Amino acid sequence: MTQQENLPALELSRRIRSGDLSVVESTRRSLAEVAQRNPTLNAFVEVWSDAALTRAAELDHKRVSGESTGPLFGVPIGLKSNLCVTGQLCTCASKMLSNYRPTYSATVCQRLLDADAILLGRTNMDEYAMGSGTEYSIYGPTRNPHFASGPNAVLEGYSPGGSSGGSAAAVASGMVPLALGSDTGGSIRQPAAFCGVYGLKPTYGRVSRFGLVAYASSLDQIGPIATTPEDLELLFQVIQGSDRLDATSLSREKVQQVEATLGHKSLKQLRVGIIREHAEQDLAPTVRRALEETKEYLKSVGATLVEVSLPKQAQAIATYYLIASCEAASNLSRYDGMHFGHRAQVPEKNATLEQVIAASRGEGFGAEVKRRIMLGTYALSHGYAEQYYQQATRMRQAIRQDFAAAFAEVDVLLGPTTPAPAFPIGAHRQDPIAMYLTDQFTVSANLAGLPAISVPIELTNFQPDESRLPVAVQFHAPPCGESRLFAVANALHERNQSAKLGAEA
Amino acid sequence: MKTCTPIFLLASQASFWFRFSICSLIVTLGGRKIVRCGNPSGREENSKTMDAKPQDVTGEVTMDVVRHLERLAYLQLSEVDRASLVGDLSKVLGYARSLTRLDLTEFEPQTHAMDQANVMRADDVQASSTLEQALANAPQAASPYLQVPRVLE
Repeated sequence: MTQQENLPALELSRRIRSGDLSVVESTRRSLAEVAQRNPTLNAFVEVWSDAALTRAAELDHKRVSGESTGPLFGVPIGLKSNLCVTGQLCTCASKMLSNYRPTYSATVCQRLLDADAILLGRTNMDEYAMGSGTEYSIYGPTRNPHFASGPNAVLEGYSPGGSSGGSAAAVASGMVPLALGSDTGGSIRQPAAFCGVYGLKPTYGRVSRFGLVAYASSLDQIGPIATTPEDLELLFQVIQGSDRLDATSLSREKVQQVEATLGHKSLKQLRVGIIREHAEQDLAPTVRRALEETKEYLKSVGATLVEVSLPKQAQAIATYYLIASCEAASNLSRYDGMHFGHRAQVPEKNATLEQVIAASRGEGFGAEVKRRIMLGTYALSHGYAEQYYQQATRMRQAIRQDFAAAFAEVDVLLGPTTPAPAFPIGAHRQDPIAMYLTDQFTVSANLAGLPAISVPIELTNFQPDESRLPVAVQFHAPPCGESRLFAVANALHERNQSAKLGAEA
Repeated sequence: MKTCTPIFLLASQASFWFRFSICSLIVTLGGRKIVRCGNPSGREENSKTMDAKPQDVTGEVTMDVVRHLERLAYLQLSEVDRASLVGDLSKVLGYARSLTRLDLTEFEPQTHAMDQANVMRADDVQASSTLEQALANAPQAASPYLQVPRVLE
């Protein structure tokens, strides 16, 4: 492996533009990296080699002929398997969509192409983005590229998190510098934390959802995964923006108006909220130390730490799983095996439409998807909708008001991304609630529509018996406050670089 | 060029699309083409079938409840699925009970992340899917029709 292969996107694109490296050459390197590492990791489920190389040659031609080049010129990107690209399989890691080829591209994919990126292939995920480990997939589990060492290390490997685990593992292992994921309850931030890379869930409405296979539409957002905050921002800038094909996307005027009221804050002026309720949580020792080291660092650069309270935090997981399951039950009702998707071969000669639909859905969906459809159907049914769904939507309002009150006092909120580092593959298979609880710090941002970022933290020391799995912290900002998140992440990235050098020295 | 296919739209429209999709099927049945307009199950008993189940508010999930939800969700399960769902749903609903017991009447229900309402845009004509594209992913089709199982007794 040469050093060039793991360049961040900005640097890679700069070298390509300057003529140091051709797009074809860079694409070949990325493909070689996938060929070498993917058999172990299972991060990519399909690589579009021919299409990628053809496009690379076109881009090289474009550069040589002096045409203008887009911001992601020649950069290879991995796409989660729930994003539509015309003519390419989009399976959501489900049997239901195993043969589905969209006839249109998602707005984000079109924007990547317009920015001269190379779509390298699609990455593994939990079926329909429902899961926190990239284990519920027809393609089998993805492995975390970080293998723990030490006495507690697990042989079969660790989960990369989920549901965008394929994208996070692809970036963390250096197969691609950038990837897109989707985040409904933490599905970008949690795998980014487990794999030691940066992940952003944008403000609801900043990125068009057109062409993203819907799971829970009031919570879903597409977002970037990268190895540096600069790359993360670069990819975010390319995909964000209003879209006539998504009525929930925010207009440019609205975004500019909100950004203007937020204003610009230097790190010295920054008031960082420390969430009181998190101090009482059961956190793994390395996660707790990552938080402490982050606080120390922020203090050292002049930021002010302020304790704030989010009293409804404890209800976030129940609220999230009720709302997400209700929306999923509604969204997934479109899979009837008639227009597209899997259709069961029902042996009875006179099988009715209803029987075929029910059988197709029974065969097409996996266990976790069925569990959420059934939970959502229950929580929306007559006599229970008030008790469950409506109650959850009231709590959603309460959680949002908690955040609004906190942001009246502080500029960003600091907390953990996950309660613990990556878990061994299969650890939560028998216990849905244990799996749901890995998302306890991430779901609130989706419920409140806020932007949130997961930032990996290089610890300055490990205890001898600790497995050296990546740990991360998370920052929340008010709606449209992404630039604050990038600023904090950039500062911590510098800190990480010097921590790494310190550890090597 | 972007084509605007109504396949992945907003949640608020999902059930509409489910019904619309069934309504708009043109069905080939024994050589006769029948335009079927209406609900898949002709749900006159809609209000009755949407009931999750006659049971007390402790929310205990029994095998009967699971079978009933299966019908509501058009989801055929195996015996193994059913048995594990009895336990899983009880666990998850039990976990949610702390939420259902709170008095939250002071908070208005919030169904969306943002306070956007009545988003309007110019009603200009744009290219949509072609017939070929619309049928491209159909499990069974005979252009210009989708082929589906019989819907009439």
